[in-house]
Amino acid sequence: MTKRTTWGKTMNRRLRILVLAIVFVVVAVVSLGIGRYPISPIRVVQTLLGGGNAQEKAVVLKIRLPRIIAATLIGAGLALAGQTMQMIFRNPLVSPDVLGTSTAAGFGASISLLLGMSTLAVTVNAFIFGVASVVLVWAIGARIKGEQTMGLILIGMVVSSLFSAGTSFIKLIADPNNILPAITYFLMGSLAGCSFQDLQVIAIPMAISFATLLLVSWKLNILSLSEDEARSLGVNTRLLRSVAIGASTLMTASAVAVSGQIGWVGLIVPHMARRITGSNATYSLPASMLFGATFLIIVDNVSRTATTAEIPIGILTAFIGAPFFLYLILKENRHEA
Amino acid sequence: MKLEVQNVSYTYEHDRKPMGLHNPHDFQTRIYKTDTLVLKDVSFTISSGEMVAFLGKNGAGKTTLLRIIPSFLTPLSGDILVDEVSVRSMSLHDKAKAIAYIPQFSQTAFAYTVKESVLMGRSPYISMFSRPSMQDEKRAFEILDELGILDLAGRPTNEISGGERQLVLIARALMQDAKLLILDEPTSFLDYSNQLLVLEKTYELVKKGYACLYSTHNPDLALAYSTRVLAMDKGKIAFSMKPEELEGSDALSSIYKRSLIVERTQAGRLICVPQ
Repeated sequence: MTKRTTWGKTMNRRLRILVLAIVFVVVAVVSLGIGRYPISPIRVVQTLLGGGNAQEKAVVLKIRLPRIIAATLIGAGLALAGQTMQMIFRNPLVSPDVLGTSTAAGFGASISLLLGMSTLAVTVNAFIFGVASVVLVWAIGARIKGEQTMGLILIGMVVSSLFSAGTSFIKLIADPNNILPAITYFLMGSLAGCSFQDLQVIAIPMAISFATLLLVSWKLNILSLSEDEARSLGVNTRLLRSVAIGASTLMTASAVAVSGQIGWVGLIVPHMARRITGSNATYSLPASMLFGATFLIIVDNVSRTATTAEIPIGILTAFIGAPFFLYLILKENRHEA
Repeated sequence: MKLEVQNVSYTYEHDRKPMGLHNPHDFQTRIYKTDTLVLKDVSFTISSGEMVAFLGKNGAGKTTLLRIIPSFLTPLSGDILVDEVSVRSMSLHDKAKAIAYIPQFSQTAFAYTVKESVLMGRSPYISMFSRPSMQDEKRAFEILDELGILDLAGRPTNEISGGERQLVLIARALMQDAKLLILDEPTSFLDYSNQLLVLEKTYELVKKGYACLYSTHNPDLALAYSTRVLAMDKGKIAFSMKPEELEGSDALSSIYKRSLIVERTQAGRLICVPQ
């Protein structure tokens, strides 16, 4: 009897992930139709399948599709990286940029913008700096004996604030008429400028990270226990942690490189995902991806259609994320008391 | 199953050194004041069917020794052998298949269900890219049933009692199929009935062929639930005696630094009485 109910629960979780997947597809299709030139979901599907008139093709395939794909990849990526980082650092209040990836990528992008490099170069440079910051944090962290996680968080803070100061300095010396606004706009986070070309740059690192994290998902559960417990269960914690941090970093750096800093997604979506599927990473990782993608597509719809001028998406995610986070803190404290 | 602890010494100082010393030569060339040694030349053996209670004051070196056995800490000198094989030469997986370590409580920020927690014990048999099989799940249910907590399988571990949580950790250890169970003060956060429950369940396992080493601050529990009492004082083994050998003895006085006598009650149980 007990066996059957527990088995039923497992099925139930798979079913929930399936529902999340269906919601994601529906939201994505509907969103392709939303905008200044509205198209019904049926026409959208027809257009995607090769039908539709020239105008519909241009709007859906050339303008909106890259953006929806970007929102999907970035939302899924940030949420997955966030879920992973929370498990690695055994702390549900950690976000994917805990090791300074976002600020460093922002710094890399700012330099490129200052030097007037191409959009592609901005993306590539942001990516390189994002990855480099974590390599730096890791290299310093390797000198820590014993408990590694707390030290990494502190070093991450230090490195992050250094890059942040660097970005401020670049803003100070940037031409206030055209370059400074470009830097500020990038740092606010936006999917407005996403092109297929950008997506090509991040496609491979993102694919590698998605695959790696989903493959090691079950072992991440054990990494979320204490260091001693994980080791007594035969897990090579340093190796697994390196792999998972590496993959999360590739993911975060890719996301920031394309979209600028979009905060909060990687922090709050993992919470919602765990609420749906429970803590087991085998289920919470795919749930985070689907939830993150759906969430970012919806927020981006608001960002591009709410006002005539576009609202940077990073501002919106903060408006949604910050109050939700407060709610989580208050609720969790009440639970403990 | 046979665990041999051979001439183990330990100091916190050497473990902070970048190159962790393994070789006895280094031990001789470096000067360690003997009073900084947490463990001084400790040796003992435990075999299947033995339940060894580890007594000693705070700071006597109990926890340090329990953490050296599964290699959380590297000894300054000496060796740990499981069935004649040094733990140094074992892979992490092999070590986890031989030695199960059960902490005072499991620290996790995430609410895993009892079943998920128990399945984690299967980790040493599962590669990095894999997950537990249906057979593993079946085994998990059998073990939960054996420990009498099958009805908890679907509950989150943060919503069950401390005693139940300790049993879940024992169930997880049984999933490891390791024949040696190391428990670090398994009863310290439990109420009296749960203390008895956890030790009773552990004792049943020992009778089925497991070997167990646990530390405790309660001499009465040690006398009731053990085949041997191992007492530690200032980093050395003070004595290793069967509970019945301790009857009428004041041996415990030496480790607790006050007058204590082990007496037998009318019901035939051994208890430690302060004088």
